Amino acid sequence: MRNLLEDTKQKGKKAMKKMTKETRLTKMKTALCLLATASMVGVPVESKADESAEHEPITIIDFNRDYTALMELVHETYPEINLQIEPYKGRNTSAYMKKQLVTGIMPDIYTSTQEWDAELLQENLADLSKYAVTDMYNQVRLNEFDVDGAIYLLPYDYSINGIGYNKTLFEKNNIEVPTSFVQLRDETIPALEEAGIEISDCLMNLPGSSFQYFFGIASTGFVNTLGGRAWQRQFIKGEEQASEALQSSVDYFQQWIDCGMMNMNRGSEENSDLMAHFMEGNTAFWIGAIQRFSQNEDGTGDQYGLLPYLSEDGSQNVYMTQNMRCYGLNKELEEPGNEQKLEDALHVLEVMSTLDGYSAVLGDVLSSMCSIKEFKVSEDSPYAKAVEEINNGHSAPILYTGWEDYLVPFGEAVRSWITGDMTGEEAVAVLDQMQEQEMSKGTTYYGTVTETLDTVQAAQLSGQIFMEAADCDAALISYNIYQPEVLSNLEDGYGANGKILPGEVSEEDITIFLPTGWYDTLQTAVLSGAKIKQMAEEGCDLRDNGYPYPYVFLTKDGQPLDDDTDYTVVICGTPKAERDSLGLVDTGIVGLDAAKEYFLRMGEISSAVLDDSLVQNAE
Amino acid sequence: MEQNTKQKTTQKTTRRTKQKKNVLSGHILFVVLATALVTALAMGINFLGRYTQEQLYKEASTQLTEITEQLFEKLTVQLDIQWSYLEKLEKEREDKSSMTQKELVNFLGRYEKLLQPANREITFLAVDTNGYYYMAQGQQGLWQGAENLDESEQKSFLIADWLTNENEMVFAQRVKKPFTVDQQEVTHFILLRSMDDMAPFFRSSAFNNQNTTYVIDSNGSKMFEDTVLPELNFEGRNLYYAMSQQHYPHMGEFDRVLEKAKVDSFACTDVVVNEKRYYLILKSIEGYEWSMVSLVPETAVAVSTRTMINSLIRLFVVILIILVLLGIASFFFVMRFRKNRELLGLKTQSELQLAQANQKLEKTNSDLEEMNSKLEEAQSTVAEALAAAKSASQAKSDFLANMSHDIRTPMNAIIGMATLIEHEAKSPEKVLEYTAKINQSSKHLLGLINEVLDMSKIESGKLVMNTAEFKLTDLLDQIQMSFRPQMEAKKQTFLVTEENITHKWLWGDNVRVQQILNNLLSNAFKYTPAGGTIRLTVLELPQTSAHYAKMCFRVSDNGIGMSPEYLSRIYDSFSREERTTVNAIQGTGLGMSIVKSLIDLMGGSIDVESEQGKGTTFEVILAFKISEKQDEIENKEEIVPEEDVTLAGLHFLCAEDNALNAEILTELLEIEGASCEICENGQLVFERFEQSKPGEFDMILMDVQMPIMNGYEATKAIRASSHASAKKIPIIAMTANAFSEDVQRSLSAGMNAHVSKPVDMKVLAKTVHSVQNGGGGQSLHKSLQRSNMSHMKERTV
Repeated sequence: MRNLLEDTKQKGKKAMKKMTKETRLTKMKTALCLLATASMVGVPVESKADESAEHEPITIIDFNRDYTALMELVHETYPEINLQIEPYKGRNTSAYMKKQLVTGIMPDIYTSTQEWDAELLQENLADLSKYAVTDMYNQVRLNEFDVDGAIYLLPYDYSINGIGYNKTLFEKNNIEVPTSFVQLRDETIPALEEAGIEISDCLMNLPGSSFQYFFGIASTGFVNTLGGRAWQRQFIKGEEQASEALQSSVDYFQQWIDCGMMNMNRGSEENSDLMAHFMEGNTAFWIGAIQRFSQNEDGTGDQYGLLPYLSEDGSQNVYMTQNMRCYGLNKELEEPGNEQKLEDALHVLEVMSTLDGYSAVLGDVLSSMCSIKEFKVSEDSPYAKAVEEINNGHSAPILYTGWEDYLVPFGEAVRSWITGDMTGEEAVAVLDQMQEQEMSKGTTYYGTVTETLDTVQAAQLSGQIFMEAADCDAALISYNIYQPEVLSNLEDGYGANGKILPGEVSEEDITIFLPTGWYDTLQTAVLSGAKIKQMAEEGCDLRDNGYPYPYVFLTKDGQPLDDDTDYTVVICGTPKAERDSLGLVDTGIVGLDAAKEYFLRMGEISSAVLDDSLVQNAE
Repeated sequence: MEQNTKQKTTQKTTRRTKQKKNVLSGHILFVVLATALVTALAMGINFLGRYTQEQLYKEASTQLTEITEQLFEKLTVQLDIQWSYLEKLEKEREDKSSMTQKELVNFLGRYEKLLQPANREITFLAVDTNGYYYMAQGQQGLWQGAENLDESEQKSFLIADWLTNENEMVFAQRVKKPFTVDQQEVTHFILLRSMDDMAPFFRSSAFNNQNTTYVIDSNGSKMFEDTVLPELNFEGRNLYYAMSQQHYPHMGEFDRVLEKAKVDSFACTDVVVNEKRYYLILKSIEGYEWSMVSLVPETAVAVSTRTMINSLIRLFVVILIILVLLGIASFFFVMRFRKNRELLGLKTQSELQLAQANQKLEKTNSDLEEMNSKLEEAQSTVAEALAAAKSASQAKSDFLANMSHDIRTPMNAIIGMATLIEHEAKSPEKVLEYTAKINQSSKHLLGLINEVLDMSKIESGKLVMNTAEFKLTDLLDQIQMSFRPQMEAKKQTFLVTEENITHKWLWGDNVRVQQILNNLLSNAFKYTPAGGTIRLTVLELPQTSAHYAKMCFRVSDNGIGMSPEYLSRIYDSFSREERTTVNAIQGTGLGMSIVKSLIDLMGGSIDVESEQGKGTTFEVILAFKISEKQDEIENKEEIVPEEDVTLAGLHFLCAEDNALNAEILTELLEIEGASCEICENGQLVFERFEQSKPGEFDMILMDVQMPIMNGYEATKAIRASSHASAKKIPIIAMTANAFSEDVQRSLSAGMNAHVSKPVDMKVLAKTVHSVQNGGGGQSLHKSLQRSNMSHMKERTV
């Protein structure tokens, strides 16, 4: 693996440089395109941007996507626009997106991966159909997001998911890449076993992953027929059950488990760790999202390919497609007094919706499919063949909208099924149970948040919860901040993220901000007071790249720590350089359980429950 | 002394005060008059402006309504063609209840190749109950449009290609005879057309492409746009929003336009965009959930009327300004005159003052001379304005001059010959000669009137195409019959050739087709010297649509030809080439203009090649819907030589309200050896027929416009009566209503044929013969054609 420090320092600028070199021509087109857009009927004719004028910042949350290059691109045409990026690397992006929509508390440019309920969209987002930016999108793609003629979200780009495989490994061992499950089971796997090659790495760090794998494989049959799609709609409404309808899918998924393709050999390993294992080069398949098609970033080393989920005879193989990002505008921008902000935000969307903007937003991530009119999949794209297949109907959408409440329980049931702790029938029965529960009483709530708490407050709340649950003397809880030099995927995912938004709090809502996410347990260490204070002062250099994230430092009862005394401290986010030397101990306490218990006990959460006397100044 | 001096001073002061008062009151009067004049002028111009704008709006709306109808007809035909491909696909499929995948895939591939229009991509799919689809390349996955399909027989929508982001239009048709493929029922056949291929169908070439077109869905979302005019590039996906931001002088707001379009499926109004005025047309595409929105600049609609009105307004304004100038000049003149009178009064009081007054008078005289010279200048300005007025109405005058000359020429001949007959009444030979000349001039005059009426109808957009089934070869026979005698008389060779005619029975307005060919042949006849050759070649071109036959009519001659300069304006109204050889030939100059207009109305094309001294070739291409009628069911009409047709022995019941016409008809029928009974209106004809014995009358000749009961009503009453001959007695319309829609109306009322007034006895005899032989509706058309023919012979370019 390449040194992450180097990666971090170089990547941010690299995307810009790459863009400058490769897309100089398209930049001119972008400028022309934007000029043309501005010349359309109804657009107020703008005078040349006043660089000295102070414009209110336009906010956007990055959600694992880098907008630094976009910011630069926007400044080339509109130097007066201030784009302010808010970071998020928490564990429940989609729940955060939904919560923003439910509460109406969101940045100026709203980002989503789902379409959501029409009423929510109408209530909180501006109708973009009257603005020129919608003319930059393919009409048919917009049709899918049309709400009675209004467009609240612009479908931006789509990912293609399937099964990654090590092309070089197959070639080296002269093994044919399978085109059907029968071939995989009867020819490929025996050949791999004979050659001593591991069959597959399955990314199982999130419960949603196993949920998606099941439905991906099921989509090669009934689930992705007209009947299957009708069943999906009826199931969500509570009009159909799962057990009987999915029996053929259960049988088929069982075959994938039996042949070893679907496994939990590497437990719930994080994406980066599991990818590191796959990159070692002795594993044939990768089950999970793949964003790189070579071992090394510069294209050298083992080459990877993307296979669809295979149907038995290969005639109904499918790639799973997912709308990666949709963009909308906070409705508040249309209120009187916000005219300048609205204009700026529309300009940002317009720049994003050009080919140049697309390169800036996607950066190093290989492009798959996009709704911008100008966009075409290039012949040398690693997705070209997959997109051709998708055009031929070999695709199915990833299930999410409407299934939010089933993702975790069924995903966990599928994990148990894969590990042999449950049968397929039992796992699918969970869907029916959840449906019954959903229809009768709905989601379980653990408390109510009565005011918005920011990320620092979220870190403090997490510290209070964890210190109490693990009975520690102190807590060091890191929290995520935006640093232009750090790529979004290298932000702090181990600390507090996002805001705690008002409303009833479900398990999903807690995982939005909680540093331990769904499954992580609390880690403690026994350290001297001096060491703890030193760590609090230096912050958490997660990647050892010189860009540390700050800690919120709490002590039990707010007592100051003695430099020479040892204390038990709960830590969220450990500096990479010290990960091994700190002597971390796994308490076995799942952070989420501790938080649920705390919320239940407190009932109402606001800034009043935050005990500022516990917070210590690092110095 | 002192008192005197005082008195004089007082008198002087009083005089001066009086003079000042006079001057002041004069100035006030001037200001009041000038203000009143300017106000009246402004109000007049304002009223005139608004009035003309209103009239222009009405005319433009009418014009746009008609043009839109035509555009939509073209669009509908093109869309229907797509559906017909699918209909044919289903017909082509053998009625098997099941097919293998391979059979279906091969079938789709074969059909695709068979129907592929030149250079165009066309793709057929079959979709089964799972939503999986089959195409020439084999079985595929779940079709991306599958979830849009429902129980509807036909459905149309857009899908997009993920690789290129280009859109395709889907025509989905539910399978009428369900069949299975590998045990899955196939539910739909699909036709995919790329939007690049479909775009021209939505595009309008009217107004020289000066229009912007959008196709929108029911919510106003843009599905397709053809933004020819950059200033009309409305931002945003929702066109309704952009349109609602504009100003609508006549309808007020866009919601009212939408409301009208919802009720009538069509709305046309004016709209102001960025301070420029346009016309907006909003029309639903029938059978689809889409509408078309077109915006046309105001200046591109009703151009000729607009130009004419603008010229008139300019003239009006010039005249008004001159009048105002004259008014001002007159006022000054009056003022000066009054001043002079006062000066003369002063002369009687003092010699010195008299001398001074004389001096002033001289000066005034000089001023008056100057004024006179200015008045002369003003007169000259008026003369110039009049010249401008004359120039502005030159076009109209030209028209009137043409018409005046062309109408007066035959009228002069008719009146002159009639006078000569009075003098030569005792010489039968002379009377016959003069009568023949009167006949000839009358026919020419009738032709002229018909052409002017035709042109007027075309220009006002009221000309309606009457589509009926007709046999092409019959039409050609008619043409031959009309032209051959006169061409043979002029020793010209007339060759009629048919090539590759595979479709003889067609749908179209054969009367108008014949009118086109008559005009072309008539010109060829006139401008080809004796001994020359004239060819009419009819060639069926390769089909571009399964339901339409494309016919090429080529009329060529080796006559005098035309100059390249003239060729460029050959289709202008009243145009004739200025050449000695040409000017001797009679004509209105409307013929080719009518031809071009008729061809445009039929959606066809005309090309001309000509070289002076070598000849001219016209090539007309028209598309006709193919009739399913076959030759074997046709009732062949017996062709009887003209000279063998006679009315002798027939007894007619005639309806004619005009006493003079009734007398002429009676006389003419008697000359032909027939007899008749005249009734003054439809009611009397009906009653007389009711009372008649079966067989008492051989035929009824029915005038149409009559008091109490018109000819149509009378015919309907006769046909509905219980009289034994009610259904079978032939009724021939004999009327001055000579347009093809009148012919159609006669036919609809139950008449058998139509002869237009003034009655040509030869035509009447042939029509009667045709009706007696069961000619029916076809002969009805022919009778009109023959009637047209008689005057078309005299037409010219």
